[in-house]
Amino acid sequence: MNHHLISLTLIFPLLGALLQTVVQTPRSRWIALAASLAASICAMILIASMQAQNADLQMTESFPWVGSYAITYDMAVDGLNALLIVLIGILFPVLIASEWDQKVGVRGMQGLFLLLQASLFGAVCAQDLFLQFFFWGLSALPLYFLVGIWGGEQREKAAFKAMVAGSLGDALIFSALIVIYYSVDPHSFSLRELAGGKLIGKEFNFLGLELPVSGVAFVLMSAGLSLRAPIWPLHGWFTEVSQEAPSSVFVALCAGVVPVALYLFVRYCYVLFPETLNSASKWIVGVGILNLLMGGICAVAQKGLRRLLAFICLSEVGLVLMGIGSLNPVGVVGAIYQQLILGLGLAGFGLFSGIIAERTGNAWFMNEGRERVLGGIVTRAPVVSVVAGLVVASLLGFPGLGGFVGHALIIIGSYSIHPLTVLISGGALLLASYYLFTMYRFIFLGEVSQKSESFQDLTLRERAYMFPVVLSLLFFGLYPKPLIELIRPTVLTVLSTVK
Amino acid sequence: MINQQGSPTFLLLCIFIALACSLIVSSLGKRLPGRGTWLIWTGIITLLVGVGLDSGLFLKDQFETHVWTSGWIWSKGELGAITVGMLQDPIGLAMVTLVAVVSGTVLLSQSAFFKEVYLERILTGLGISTAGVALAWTSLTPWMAFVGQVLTILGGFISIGSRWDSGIDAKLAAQFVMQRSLGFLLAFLGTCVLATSRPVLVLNSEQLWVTQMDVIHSTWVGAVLLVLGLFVQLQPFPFLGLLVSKSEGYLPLRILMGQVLPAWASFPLLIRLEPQFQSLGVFPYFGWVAFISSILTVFSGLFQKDWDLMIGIWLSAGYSLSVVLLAFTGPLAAMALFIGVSLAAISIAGSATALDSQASNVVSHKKKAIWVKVAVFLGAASGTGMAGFVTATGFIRWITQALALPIMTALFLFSFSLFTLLGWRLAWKLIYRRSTSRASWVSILASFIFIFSGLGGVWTGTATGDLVQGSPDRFMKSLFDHFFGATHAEFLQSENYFSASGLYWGVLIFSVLLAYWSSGGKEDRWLRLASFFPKTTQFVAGGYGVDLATARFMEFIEWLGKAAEKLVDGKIWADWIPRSLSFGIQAMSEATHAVDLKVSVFLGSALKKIVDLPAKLLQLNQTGDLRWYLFFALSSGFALLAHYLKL
Repeated sequence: MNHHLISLTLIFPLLGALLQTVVQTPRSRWIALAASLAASICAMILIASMQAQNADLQMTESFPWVGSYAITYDMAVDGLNALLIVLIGILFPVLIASEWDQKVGVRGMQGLFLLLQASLFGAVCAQDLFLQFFFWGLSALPLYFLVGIWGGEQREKAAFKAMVAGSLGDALIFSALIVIYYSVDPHSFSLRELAGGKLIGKEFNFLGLELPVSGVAFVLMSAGLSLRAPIWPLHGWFTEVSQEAPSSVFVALCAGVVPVALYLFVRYCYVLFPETLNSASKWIVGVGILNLLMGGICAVAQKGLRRLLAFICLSEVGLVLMGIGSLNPVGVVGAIYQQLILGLGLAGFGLFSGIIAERTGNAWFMNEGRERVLGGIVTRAPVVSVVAGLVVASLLGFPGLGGFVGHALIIIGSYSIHPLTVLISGGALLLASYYLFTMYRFIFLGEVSQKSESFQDLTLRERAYMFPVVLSLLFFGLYPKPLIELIRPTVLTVLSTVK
Repeated sequence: MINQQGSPTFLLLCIFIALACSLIVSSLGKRLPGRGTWLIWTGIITLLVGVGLDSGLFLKDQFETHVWTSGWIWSKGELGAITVGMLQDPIGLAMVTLVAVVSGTVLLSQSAFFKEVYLERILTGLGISTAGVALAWTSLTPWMAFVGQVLTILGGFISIGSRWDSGIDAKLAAQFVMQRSLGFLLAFLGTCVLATSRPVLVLNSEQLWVTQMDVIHSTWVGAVLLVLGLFVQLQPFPFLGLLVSKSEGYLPLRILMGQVLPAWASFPLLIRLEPQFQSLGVFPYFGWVAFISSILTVFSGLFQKDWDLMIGIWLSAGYSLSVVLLAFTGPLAAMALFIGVSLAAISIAGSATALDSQASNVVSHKKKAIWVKVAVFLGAASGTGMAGFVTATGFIRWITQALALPIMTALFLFSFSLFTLLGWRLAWKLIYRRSTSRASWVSILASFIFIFSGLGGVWTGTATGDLVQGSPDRFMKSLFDHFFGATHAEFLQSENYFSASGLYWGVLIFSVLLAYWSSGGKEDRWLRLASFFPKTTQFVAGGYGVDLATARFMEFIEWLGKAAEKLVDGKIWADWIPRSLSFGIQAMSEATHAVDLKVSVFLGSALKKIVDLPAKLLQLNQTGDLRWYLFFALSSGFALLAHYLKL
């Protein structure tokens, strides 16, 4: 039976994006917000309609698309992607609302945000590799324009680098898709048909060499995705974008695109390459630890909020990779949960740093001599200080906030397999507490600086869009059970294939 | 109607109400009448009512422990499950009562800090921390206790940093929250590691953690991290930097919110998991760590010039000693010292702040000063284990149990004497200050309430605090008996008791007199001693340069971060990759161009060769060399054709 809720989550933003081209400015904003909200509501209904304790794909929607190549429009949700749908559903209306007062080309910007929302929904829900690649590749396009048009002085350079890195990544993924497609008989892109170790033992000939399909495709896909999610040291484009992109666009990248890239990695690893995953898990955890540590070390050296956010993102990606590589139900559930929480946490961080940058003219909190540039904002803007405090606490994994659940599950899950790495990650968390509290002190506490003198607290609109982010962090921190119950059965099923 | 099953959740509700009241004050404080003091009172009274009702049930059920538990993530009993729950036992209820009484007493004496500009922030901090301590003591699982700990960190941060616009206080508040977070994260990491090897991590379990070999590693690592994290929350050496920093804030609040309440929130885990830590062998090791920490802390305190810094350091040394007692003597002795030294420190801080160095001829000011000094004296007596106070119970047990090992006894006595010396040095310095007091009588009374709460009679049921063998001075049953069971009776029959008692009195009197000789007169002999070794004493008094070393380490991390960033972002991505890409594309383009040129030349020459022959023929034809040959050939052809066609 076909459900159309998933299609609706795609159609509403696409329709909204189309309407941006014809409707004039004051009304276009409302249309953009309405379209994004409508998609989000559909997404929430979709998740609420899911059956807990069910490992199967649910709410499926399947039609043939390109019959001669067995490409289908196959969409469904399960425990692996449900949380990403929630994240995208929360994130994009917030981003659209945050750019409400955009002076230059607001219609174009909102349209591109809607296109990005639709493409990310598509990439998350697609159960056909080609379709998934189509949406995933599409998501790079709005980002290129959003950075290239609305970014800072070096925007074109940053957008170009991001596009080149992304295209190279997409090319690698596409190569993997082709290898997979021709390795099975009948040829197929369907994730359902390829699931459960269908690629085990398959080989293909390349220049006279017999290469394992699973291993080669895993390497190609991992390399491809690591050029879209920030993996140290392949993250150069990402930090450059962090400097040049508008706050909301960078939030879309690190809180939307990065979690989706991590999700794709989980989906590919656990569904397509269970055998390879077994032997590559240590490498995944190793890369995770490297990211976590290098992200933390580089974050200590930051003096601006944007680059700090970029390195926090790098660090958080490392933590999620640790969970993914743990091959342990607790760790994998934690990694999936953390994708949602890191998205929300980074969104909160990016949004409040955007507000600070807007009010004070830049996002630097200390100068080259490590002297404060801002300071004392808490006395001028208590609400923004509380919001920032909650986001920082969640990123550090304080109880009562989402980060606690994700961090705890990942650490519990990873320890039994990689004890030392968990202890190293403890060091990275301690570093995080140093740089986050230092940042907080330099911006919010202390004497009021000249720049902070006229700092105004959150407006009603800003409160309205910050509220869902903070509320979600609190809610998912206090009551994670319903979402965990959605994830767990799927994780147990895919893990049974791996083991 | 509250029943046995519902009572733990009822207490949780009371704690939640206390927390909610504090949050309301934080958001509406300035707009509330009395800036929300009455709301904080409401929270405290709610807590007391909750404890009162539960205690009634408790008495009815003959002190039967009540628990409520639930699987928060994963079902309880599963490996890796994170469970929450409430535990109602005598010690938990007593500590909730104590924290409510202490917070209430601080509120009573609020005239002292009512002048604070941001009173509502202090009230918020107090309310949140009180709720946090109550939650930590009634938690069934470490996960739930962490919530309590984090609440006390938050409360301390709000309160210490209440003057957020002051650079010094903001720095101290950030330093406070960083140190406590370090402790929390270590404890959290330890608990996560422990959760990997045991299905249900509860605090009322009698099952020891000596388990199978396959999980002994994780159990040990987890336990070490947990104890380390909890120990950090007690602010021992090397975390003295915060204690030796001057603050503009109100001292008693800094002591209460910055040290006492966070320590009270972390101690329940240490106390409740003591048998497990002992069984793993973690505690003897940590006992020595705490022992060294206490000695280093005391030395740092002895060379302080300012009495206000001395109080915090003395309290920190007392907390380290509590861990020593926990590791070597047991939970009863540790708890006795822990409670006694906490209350004494709050009392001395409150009294010392009430003393005014300005001269006044008003009789009541002089009279108040005398009472304040009496409170300081009693506070020092209470904290250093004088007869009649609960701390005496801890120290006498410590010495009695150590007597079997002479070296250990000597070390313990040395440590005890140093701690007592610092406490009395502080007291004599305050008592011999020329001062009057403008504090309200309620504030002065508050100090006496703290001293009263630390009396041996309240906790041990004896007038001396269990200092007399056989307890002829007993007037009620000991609360410690309810907390820890039979350990109390065992101690009273110890054959070492008289030797221990003699050593205890000897060391105590020696330390009090030495403190008086060194600090009671006009000349501070410790400072005179310090003047002979200025650099060394400055190093010791400044916290052994740990802050400087930490700053250097962080500078190194920052340098490392910059270097990595410079390499990856500045070189690889901004220079090498674009340059190599550009070079690659250019080289490829040049190579293609060269190949293209060669191919073109080759094709040209090949074409030339192909075209050359007919062209030359044509040319020869054109120039006439071939013309006659062609003429004859064609004529011959036509002649042959004509012949065969019979033309």
